[in-house]
Amino acid sequence: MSTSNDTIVAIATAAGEAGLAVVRLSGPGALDVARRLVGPRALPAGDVRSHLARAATLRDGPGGEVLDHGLVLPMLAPRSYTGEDVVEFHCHGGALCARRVARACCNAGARPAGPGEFTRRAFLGGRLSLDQAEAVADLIHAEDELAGRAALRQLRGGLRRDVEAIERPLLDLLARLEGGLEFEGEDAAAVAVPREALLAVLDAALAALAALLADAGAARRVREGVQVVLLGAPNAGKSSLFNALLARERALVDAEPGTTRDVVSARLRHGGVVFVLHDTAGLRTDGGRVEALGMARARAAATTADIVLLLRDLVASEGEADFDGDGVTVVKVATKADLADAAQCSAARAAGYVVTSARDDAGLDELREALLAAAGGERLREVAEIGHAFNERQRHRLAAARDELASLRGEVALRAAPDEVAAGLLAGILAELGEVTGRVFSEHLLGEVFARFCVGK
Amino acid sequence: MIVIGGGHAGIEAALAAARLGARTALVTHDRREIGRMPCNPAVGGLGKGHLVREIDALGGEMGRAIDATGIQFRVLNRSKGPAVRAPRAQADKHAYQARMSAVVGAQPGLTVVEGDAVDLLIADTAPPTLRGVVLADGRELLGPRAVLATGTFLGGLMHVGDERTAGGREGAAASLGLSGALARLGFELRRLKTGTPPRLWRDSLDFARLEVQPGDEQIEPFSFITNELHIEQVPCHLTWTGERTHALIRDNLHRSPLYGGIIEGTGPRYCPSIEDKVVRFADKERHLVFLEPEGRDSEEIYVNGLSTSLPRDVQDAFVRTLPGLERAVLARHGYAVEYDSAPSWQVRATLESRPVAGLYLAGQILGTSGYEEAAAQGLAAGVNAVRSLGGREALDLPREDSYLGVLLDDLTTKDITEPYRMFTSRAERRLALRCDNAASRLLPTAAAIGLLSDPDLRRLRARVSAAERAAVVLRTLRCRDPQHGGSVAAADLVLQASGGLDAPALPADIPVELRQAIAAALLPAPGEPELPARLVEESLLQAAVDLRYEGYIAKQDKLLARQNHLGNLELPEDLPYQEITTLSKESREKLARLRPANLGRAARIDGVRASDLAVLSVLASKWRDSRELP
Repeated sequence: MSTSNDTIVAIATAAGEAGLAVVRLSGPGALDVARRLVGPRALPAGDVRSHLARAATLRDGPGGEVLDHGLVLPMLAPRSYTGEDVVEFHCHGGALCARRVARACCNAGARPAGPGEFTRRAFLGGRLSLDQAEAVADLIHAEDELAGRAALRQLRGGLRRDVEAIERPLLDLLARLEGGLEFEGEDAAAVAVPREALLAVLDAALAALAALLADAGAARRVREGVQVVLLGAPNAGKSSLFNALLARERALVDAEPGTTRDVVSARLRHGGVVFVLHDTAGLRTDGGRVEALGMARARAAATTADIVLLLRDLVASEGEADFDGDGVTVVKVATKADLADAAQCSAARAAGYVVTSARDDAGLDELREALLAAAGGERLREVAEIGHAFNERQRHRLAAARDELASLRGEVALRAAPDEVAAGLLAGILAELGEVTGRVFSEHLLGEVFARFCVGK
Repeated sequence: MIVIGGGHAGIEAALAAARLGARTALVTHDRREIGRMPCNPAVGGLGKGHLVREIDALGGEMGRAIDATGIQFRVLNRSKGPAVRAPRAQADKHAYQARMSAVVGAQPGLTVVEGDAVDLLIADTAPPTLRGVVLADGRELLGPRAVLATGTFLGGLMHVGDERTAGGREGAAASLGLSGALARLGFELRRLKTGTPPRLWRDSLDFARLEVQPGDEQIEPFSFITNELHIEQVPCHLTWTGERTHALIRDNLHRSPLYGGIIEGTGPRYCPSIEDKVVRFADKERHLVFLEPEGRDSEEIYVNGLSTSLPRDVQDAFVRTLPGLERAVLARHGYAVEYDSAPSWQVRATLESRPVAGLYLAGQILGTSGYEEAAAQGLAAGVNAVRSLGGREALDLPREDSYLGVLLDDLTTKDITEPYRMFTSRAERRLALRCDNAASRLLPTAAAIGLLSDPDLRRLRARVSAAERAAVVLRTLRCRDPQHGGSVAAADLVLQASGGLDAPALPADIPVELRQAIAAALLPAPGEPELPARLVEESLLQAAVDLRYEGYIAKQDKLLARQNHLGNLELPEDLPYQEITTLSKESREKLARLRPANLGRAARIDGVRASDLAVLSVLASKWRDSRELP
């Protein structure tokens, strides 16, 4: 029995580094969503064998980038934890991989689960006995309380001010728009919002949301480590740089062989920040695999990284590699300075490269500082001290609010939407923000109008 | 069926009941006062005009009555988008009252009983069941269903300065017996307050100094039954308060029963008295005042915006500080009235009371204000009461489909502490709940209720299918763009040519092929009655707006669905909320009182949290299956 009309996704394993991560989908669309990641052969339509795991290549949608090689395990309703169709992906450990898979599920139509949502569905799906009901209720309550307390903790300090700084002017704007719609003549004129003022408020909110999302990213980077991918042509010196960066901190390095078969990862601490370096030098070219496939995989990894170190061999004839990923900071690194002449080095510096040599450790300190700056530098440390940490669900909602706000701004600028539409879109945006902070405004909106404006006869 | 009260709720309840075949008695103090407008002589406005359109589509009386007796018609918010446009009309209040009295008097199966209802006859069942009503003179009316629509008469107390008079409105006695009966039956009662402004003699005003506010050139009627209205309209006038007005009011605040602490009831914030406005918005230099005639030939002018309960001498003085009113003579003074209401959590969405089976409440007694809100509830209560007599299920009026649904849902999920007025912002699906598409939204419900005569229902059907055919043309047809060349969607062209969504009107200039396609689509289908031009135009505009808004509406619906994905999960009526300790204390109390029918309604109760809903979703099924809680 399915009690829900949508499909939820969450990373089921604990945050942090482990060998294996499980991403779990539940809901009527679980199979469809999963099929978009693993293709129809791993989950043949109409012929899915429940409780049978298959090896699969996980992609970000059909024809999309390869995310990982793992297992897909369908558990069909009602024989699942929630009683709904459930699909689990068992993928390689490490936050990067599981997060990418979960995000791909959202791209394919799932939404991030709320607190206690899997447990609640389990009960509604009839998978828990009635005697367990009270325990479940307690659990849900506790999870929500916990989430609430965590949210409160998050909202203390700078971040709370940030959220309010976004909500307040939008609420004020909505109150004015509503006042203008509900009343006529002088009353309406008194609350009217000129288009320029409206645009200014929307722009300010957009900027603040972008900053908040950057913080959300920073918070996640504090929690899980800043994900750094080394990218470059086959002989650009990735492995050498990887080892050189880690060599001086031998005591602090936890090499993690086996976390992935294709990418070697290791942790590096610098300036109070944990970086997780992913070296694509481990790409296997044997066994008939072509180099091109490895490069594609490396690039896929790079698109969800925080920082890409884009390497260029100073003495190789080929030009610089290019990389353009949404939200990814690129640090350009020139390698093999020991083989190059001074003119080549200074030309590279002028072009914005950090010039390094793995052989004599030249430029490595500079590179570490560049990494720290690219990770968010001071702000990252500030965020770490405030201690707030957005979860994926909150980040999802904030990003949705930002997108909605951007589209509202477009409509207003083009004069495409009358006030009644703008007000409706704005209410939707406040609802998105309300899902982050747990606040609901609709009840108080009219109160806000009447308290602030002398309207009505 | 017994209806107590001849106001706007009582009229709709009694007419609906009688028209649906119930033998009906309407109990009122004075049969000549049926349909009286004790406050402003107007019908409609934002949210309210929407309600009247819905009442009309469902077969109620209000829209037809105002069309027949209106003396000035205006569509409000013409420039703010189609969803917040709504008709408003000044009524000739005496003509309106006379018409309503006549319609009620002529209705077969409906008997008007003059008297004062003082008590209820109750059968000793569990829960108690209504048997009849006792009048002050000892008569007993027996019947299994009653609608209480007492307005401001229940324990009514009027204030002017320190004068206090028992009564429901000026010149009318209060109903003092029923409050006691309700309290004895376990109803909680709450004092509410409302106010009314002074009336001025028309010939004491200096009209030369007043700004004129005329009606619309072309009248947009309320009722789909009305073909066209061509009447000579009566203008309203505008003036405003000034510093002298405000000073006089401030100096006499200590004599105000509102500020002197004599009035206990809570008044509406959206309809503040002038003393409220002066105190709360002290920096506002002037407040607009509308002078509205009470009738075509009436000598009295209603002073909209000057509601007050200050003493008579203060009213006399401050009224004369307004431009044009220097020599104004008060025909009647403003007053505040306090009355008993029964907070609406005591009724179900059918408007049947929880404490007494068979007893329905409607109108101001439930804490609402406004003629239109009252009429809407009267209609719902009357129809539901009759349907329950025949063992039929109650009307299904979801808040997603109508303002009537929003009203009924709000009444049963909100703890209303001030008189409730409809606003368009109360409707989450505002863009979909428009005056222009009331017919389409409510046709199935109207057909199911059966209040409309066969010809009227055929006309409503024809109006709906005209809009559907227009939508097909607009959706599928592309034609050449007369301005920029190339081809363009017909819907865009219609909206462009009509001035866009800001001021939709009928397209002035569209290509001939489109005009022909539209004209063909709007012709009546075989067997359909012909529609008047204004309804044909309305059908086309509805179709254009529907198309233009469908993206926005789909977006909002998606958000609503996400917020309410378990909304239809039923919550058993007898769920013992007080025993569910995992609910927060506030939620426990509110849920126990409001007893929402499903999880969606529970979610709309202020203060109920996501975790409470999660707990409920789990425990409700346990309780339903075993009548036990873990």
